[in-house]
Amino acid sequence: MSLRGRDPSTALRAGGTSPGARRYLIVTAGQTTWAFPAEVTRGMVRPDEGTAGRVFSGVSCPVVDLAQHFGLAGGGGGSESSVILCGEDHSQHALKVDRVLGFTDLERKDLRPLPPHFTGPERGWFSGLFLFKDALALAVDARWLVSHEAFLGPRARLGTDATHSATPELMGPVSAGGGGDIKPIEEADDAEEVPWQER
Amino acid sequence: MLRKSPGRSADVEKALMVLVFSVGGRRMAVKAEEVGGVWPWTQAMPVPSATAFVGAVLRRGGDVLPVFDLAGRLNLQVQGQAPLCLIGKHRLGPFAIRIDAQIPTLVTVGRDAYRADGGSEPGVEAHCMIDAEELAVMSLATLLRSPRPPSTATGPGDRDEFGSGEPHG
Repeated sequence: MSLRGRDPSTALRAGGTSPGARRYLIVTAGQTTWAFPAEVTRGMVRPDEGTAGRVFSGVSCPVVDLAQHFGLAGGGGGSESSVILCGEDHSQHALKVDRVLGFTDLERKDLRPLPPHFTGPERGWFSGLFLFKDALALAVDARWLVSHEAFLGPRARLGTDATHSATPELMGPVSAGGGGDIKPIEEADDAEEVPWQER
Repeated sequence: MLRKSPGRSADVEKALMVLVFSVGGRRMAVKAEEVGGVWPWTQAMPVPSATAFVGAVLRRGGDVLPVFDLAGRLNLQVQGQAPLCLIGKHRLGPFAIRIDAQIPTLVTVGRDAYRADGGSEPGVEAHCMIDAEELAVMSLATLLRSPRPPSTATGPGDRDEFGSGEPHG
């Protein structure tokens, strides 16, 4: 398990993972480290590049602050914040995150299920957890991520009170007819050129 | 990390060992047999969750433990600069509770000082007298079935019955 390009001994060729592994894009939002399955991660754009009027495969989608959407403390972004684009052609989401750390390959056996003490719909939101560096990463479920209700509908929200405020921060939409600065993540196979590499 | 207090001198057959700890300055107890250990608190990672008071995990070595927010359940704030982590035993697996920095104490109480509680307060299974103070004895198994606060009871239409204690998914 290593970030692509950070460790020469385990650096990955673009698009290549071992048969028993799955690739994840690791980001932070709030105090949570998130792992998005690479196969549904389409690209990224810097918020300071502007998000309104952007085109992403001809589909318009609002930008959602990931941490705020789930009512987590922190988030809101800083100088290192990015918007990652994920989903499939029929269902895409633009998610604002605090920091993009890079890719990691995870052996399937190293993905642990969410502890059974979690009994709510979150069991469908996340496919599990894994040890990441000296902490943990939360793996987002790819099927839920590409579903229409993820992030856009009320079903993913937790409530409306101060404890679990889940009102999504909607920014300018990533919409049809815009510019072309969105960076397809898979195009970068040189770690030196990866804009989201670990700093 | 536990201090042992002399407590009451009762026949071992009639005695019960409890761990006295505090959350938000409120002293309470839990049966020692339900405690897996007490450790310094380590950073927990929030996990978006609709399960009542279970919204974080922490890593301890190679283990991943869910965190039950007992302070939130009691509408209290954990006190102290160096809070502690109480490991609770549960049939679903161990879980962590953030407690005050005050070092917990093991106390032996006689059965006569132990009074079962019919549910006057959620999560409390009994009360016991320790040092002339009546303390609530928390039931860790019951805590994990805590209902969601009314203010957050509305939301996703497909929400499960939280805290049922049954694993699924």
